[in-house]
This record gives sequence, structure tokens and C-alpha cells, in this order.
Amino acid sequence: MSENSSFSVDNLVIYLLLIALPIFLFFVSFMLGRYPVAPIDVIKTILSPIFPSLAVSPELNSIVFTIRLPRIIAALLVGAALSIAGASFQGIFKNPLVSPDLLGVSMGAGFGAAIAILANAGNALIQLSAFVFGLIAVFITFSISKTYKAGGILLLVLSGTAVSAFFNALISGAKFMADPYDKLPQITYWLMGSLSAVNFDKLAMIIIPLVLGIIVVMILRWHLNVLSMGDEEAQSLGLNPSRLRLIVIIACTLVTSAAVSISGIIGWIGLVVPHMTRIIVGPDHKILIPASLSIGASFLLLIDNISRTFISIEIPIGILTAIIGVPLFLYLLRKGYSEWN
Amino acid sequence: MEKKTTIILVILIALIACGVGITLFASPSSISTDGNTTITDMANRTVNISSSVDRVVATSPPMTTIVYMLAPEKLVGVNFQWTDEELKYVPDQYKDKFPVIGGWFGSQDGNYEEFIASEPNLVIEGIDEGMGVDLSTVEERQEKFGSLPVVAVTDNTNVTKIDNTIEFLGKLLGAEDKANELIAFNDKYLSQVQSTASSIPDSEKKSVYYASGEDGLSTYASGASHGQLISLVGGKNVADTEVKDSGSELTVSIEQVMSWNPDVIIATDEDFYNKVYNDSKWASVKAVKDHRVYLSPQSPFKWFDRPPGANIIIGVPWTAKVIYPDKYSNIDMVGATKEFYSNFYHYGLSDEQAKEILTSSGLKGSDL
Repeated sequence: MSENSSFSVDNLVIYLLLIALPIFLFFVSFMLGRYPVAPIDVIKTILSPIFPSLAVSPELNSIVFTIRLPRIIAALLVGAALSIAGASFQGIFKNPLVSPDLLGVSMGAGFGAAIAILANAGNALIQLSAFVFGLIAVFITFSISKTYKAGGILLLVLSGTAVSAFFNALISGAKFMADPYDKLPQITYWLMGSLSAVNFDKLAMIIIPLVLGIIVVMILRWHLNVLSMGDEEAQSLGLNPSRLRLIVIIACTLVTSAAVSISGIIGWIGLVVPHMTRIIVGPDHKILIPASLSIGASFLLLIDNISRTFISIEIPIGILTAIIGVPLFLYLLRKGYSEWN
Repeated sequence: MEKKTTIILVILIALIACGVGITLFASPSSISTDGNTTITDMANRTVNISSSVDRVVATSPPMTTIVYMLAPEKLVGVNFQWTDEELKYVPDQYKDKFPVIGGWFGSQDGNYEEFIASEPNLVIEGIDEGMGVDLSTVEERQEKFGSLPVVAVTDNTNVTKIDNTIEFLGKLLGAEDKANELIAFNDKYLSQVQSTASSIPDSEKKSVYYASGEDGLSTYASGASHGQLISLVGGKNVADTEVKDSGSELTVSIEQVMSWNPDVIIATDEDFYNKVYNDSKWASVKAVKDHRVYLSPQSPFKWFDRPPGANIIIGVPWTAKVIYPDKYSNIDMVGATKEFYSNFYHYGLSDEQAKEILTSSGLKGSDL
């Protein structure tokens, strides 16, 4: 089963690339921004905490460390979180059309943000409310599916669809009540998704659930292969499929909710990055999960760089994920379809 | 009796207007045999008004604002809830008078039945191509409102053209005197500001950033009706973006604001204004360094924008003072504020209250 992941030279190159790509992009992203800065000055500024003599100016420090750095980290983390959750969900639900918001987490978070905005809450509270309501929505989905005797995956998916629709209606209700000049645009922008408001305080709030969830999925990725084959298969190997599924779902909900709470709703990444990754490294979850993490992080960072530098206004990130993601995905599909199964 | 005289007065003025040959804008024109008034609205539609005009609603805030200013006793509904902050300078008799009936603007939550339930005998609709409201929208409304007359006005979101709208609504509401007062007030400051603004050479123009939203990172492009006062008083809106004519709110990054490095920032969000001087991200922006961030007064309507209706008439001298306190030192801002509030917001301000409004917007006491 796992013996087929032979360590050929080709694979080794791909793995090294997957490790190098986000790291390389991380450093390149510091050079990009609307405020014109010479790359050499950026490098000096990055090194200045270690070698204080290299510091260029306090202004540049602020640009590099309080403006660009948190946003770069956020793009990497959010991209990684959505992709890893999407890959896991597609595995455990045995369905390639599943994205991380299947169980209602995004709409729940959106509603949490909307009522916090309505209540005039500050940024921290908006984020917290989004995070908590994301979890609540998934909890409701779970509770509903458990009330039916004939439980199982299909009921979970249906409950998720229903709960998503319900929270979506509540979001519309919140919009309906919002002051059209202040609150309504704020809610609309939040729902569109953007990383422009990220700072270290916001990152600090989500880092624990995010990293925790990612670690759990990384550890359990060995079992995802078995889960994606079916429950009988898993039981015959002495695993408890429904408990495993629950743990993975909780972990994925944590990371997705944390990601959404900081970025708003960014569609498409969680659905498509796992497919792209599958085309590149194959369907084995042992490699698919870390590779999704790397590609998702790199992809969202790339997109966010474009969003914040391309023209003088910020291009909503959801628009770009689709405009850039779709052609790339279709291209990969052509290239990789033959070896996809 | 009074209604009749109103109608007759309206017709008289209309006839005189026609006689003088002012057909640039619409005017009530003739009376049909069964006692109905037929008017031509500003979109050249013929509207039959069968009863007196004493209960009026508008489909969006710019017109509602004008009705509140000219004839608050005839307004029977508003488009959104006043916040506590906005209620500060609303006289007690109007505080709870107007039910919230929604509307068709930022939020498209208007409900025809709700409108009809407020029992108006006239509905005002503003045509604004930029906002996606054209003649077909008006026809659609008229169809839905059935026998309830829908009167269309134009140019209600441009302070240099709004006089026509004010005049038209003044006639419609039987509030010509009030309308003329408002027009006179508007023209006085417009002409003063425009003549000064045209004398400022490009090289000396101050660059201004319009900070909208709680984080201050939403703005409007230089060609939008939102933020029109910046260029009117001779400032340069820094958001000379790739999407010049976009009327919608744009999001920018703090880096972009830093590289624009505006001389002055005008904000509409109180939360942003309260924290901008202590936010390290904004610290290196010139306007923040020079302590030149200003907050539009909010009550009962914002002075600077949102809506960009007749409420920004008082914003003309304010914006002038904000950007060029030296060039516009001859404007008596306290006097203008008191006059505007007592005449058009029906609220008498003391000198202290007027000063308080102005200083909490960031203006220096010595510049008033």
C-alpha cells in the first residue's frame, strides 16, 4: 500500500521543490509592495534585528515588519490551512467536489463576523466571533446528523448543506439590518475575503488552533488512505473509522475556522489546491497532505502578492483565486489527467 | 384651504417660470379640469398628483435629507435608523417621528408595501446613472406604487448642481422660501470656495486622502461623487486610481497610502479617527505626522459624504477650512454652522455647541 511511494530521483526533486517553494516565496514577497523600496534595503532591514548596524530607517522597519511580514505569514497560514482541510475532507468524504466549508464553517464564521460588525465590536471581537460561530455551525451540523439513526457520511453532508444555508440566511438578515453606509460595506468586504487587515495580534489569536489542527492532520494522514477506501477496509485493519473521521473533522474545522476568522471567506483554494496537488504528487495522503500544505501556502501567498501590488487598489482576493486558479487548474488537468488515477 | 393656496401658488410660480423661459428644469405646469395637478418632473415625465402633497417619502437618503431640510413636517418615513450619535442634533419632535421604511440604495431593502403603509401621497425617486438608477427604475417604481405618484428628481448627488433639485422639491413641497434660503446658502459658499480654489496653482494644491471605514483603508476614486468636496475646494484626491470613474468604495493597502503620502486625511469613521494618531502603521504618513487628520461631523447627517446629498452643503466651507485654513480664513465657520443648523436642521445651536462640533472634527479653535 505505502511501498509504492518509491523514492525515485524525480520524486525527490519534487519534494525538495515543495519544501523550497514557500520558503523562496516568503523571502521574495518582502520585496513586493506599493511602497517603493529597493530590494537591498529590504534585505538589510530583514537582517537588522540580528545586525542592528544594517537598519535603514524606522519607516522601512515598519513597512517590513508591521505591514508586510504579518500579511505574508497570514497568506501562508491561511493557504496551508484551507488546502490541508480540503484535501482531508475530500479524502474522508470520498468526494472530489468537497471543500472545507462543507459542514457550515464558513457561513457560520461569516455570520459571527456580521453580528459582531453590527454590534459595533472591534476587530479582535469580530475575529473571535467569527471563529466561535464557525465552530458552532459545525457542532450544529454534527448534532443534527447524530439525531438520525441511520447516521453516516451522507447525512453529515446533508446536515452541513442545511446548516450552511441557514447561516447564509442569517447573514442576509444581518446585512438587511445593517446601516447601508457603514456596516453594510464592512460586512460585504469581510465576506469577500481579504488579508489587508492582518496584524500580529490577529495572528496570535489564531496560531494555536491553526498549528494544533495542522499537526493533528499531519499525524493522522497515514490513516486517511484507509478511510478514503471505505469503512469496512478500515475496520478490518483495526481502526475505528467514525472516531478517526470525527478527529480529522474537528482538526479541519479548527484550522478552517481560524483561517476564515482572519481572512474572511476565500473560496476555491480548499477545493482546487488538493486537486492540483494530486495531479503533481498522486493520491497518497502521506504525501498529498504535506504537499497540499506547501502548494496551498505558496499559491495564496502568490495571489495575495498580486492583490496588494498589482494596482493601487486592493483587488479582492476571492476574485483572483478564481481568475488565476482556474486556468492553472485546467492546464494541470490536461497535463496530469493520464496519471491521475 | 391652505392646500389649495399652496397649489395655486405652485402653479403661479410655474407659470412665471415658464413665461420667463426657464425651461432648463422641470416645473409644475398646469392643472387639469378635475382638480388634479399635473406636473412635469425632472426626468420630463408627466405625473398626475391628485391630492395635496403633505405626506412624502423618498426612496433613498439624498432626497429624504432634502425633504427633512425643507419640510420635515411632510416627511413620513426615513430610509434607515438614525444612530444615537446622529440623533444628537435632531430636535425632540422629530426624534421618533419617522418610521424606518428602508429604501433602494446601498442596501436594496425597500419594500413597496412598507412604503405604502406609511401612507404617503407622493414618492420621490432620485435618478442617478452612477448609482444604477435610470428612467426604467422610475417606471418600475411607478408601476409598483400604482396610483401613488412617483416623482423623479435628478442631480441630487452633486453639490454644484443640486440647486435645481432643491428648487424643484421646494415647489413640490410648498416650501419655496426654505428652498431659496438653502440655495442662497449653498451658492454663497460655493462661489467663495470655487473662486479661491481656481486661484490655487497645481503645484500648491494639498493632497488629500479620504479615509473611509473603521481601518481607514477604504476610499473613493478621484472621479467619484463620494468625496467630491476635495477637488471642489481645491484639494487633490490622492486616489487617482486605475479605476477613476468607479463610484464604489475601493480598498487600498496602508503601503499605498504611505506612498501617496497625503498632506491631509479626511475621515468619516469615528473609530478610525480616534486611533489613527496612536497606530504605528499610520505613524509615517505625512498627514498623521503633521496632525492633519479630520473627522466629518456626523449629526444629524454627515457633512462630508454618505449620502453625497444636500447634507454636504455645510461640508463645503468645512472641507475648505480643513484643507486650507489660511486660504479660507475669511469664512466664519461657527456662524455658518449655526445658520445651517437652525435653518435647515431645525436645531438651534449655541456658540459653544457649534464650536464643539467643529473642534471635535479636528479643526483648531483659532481657525474657526
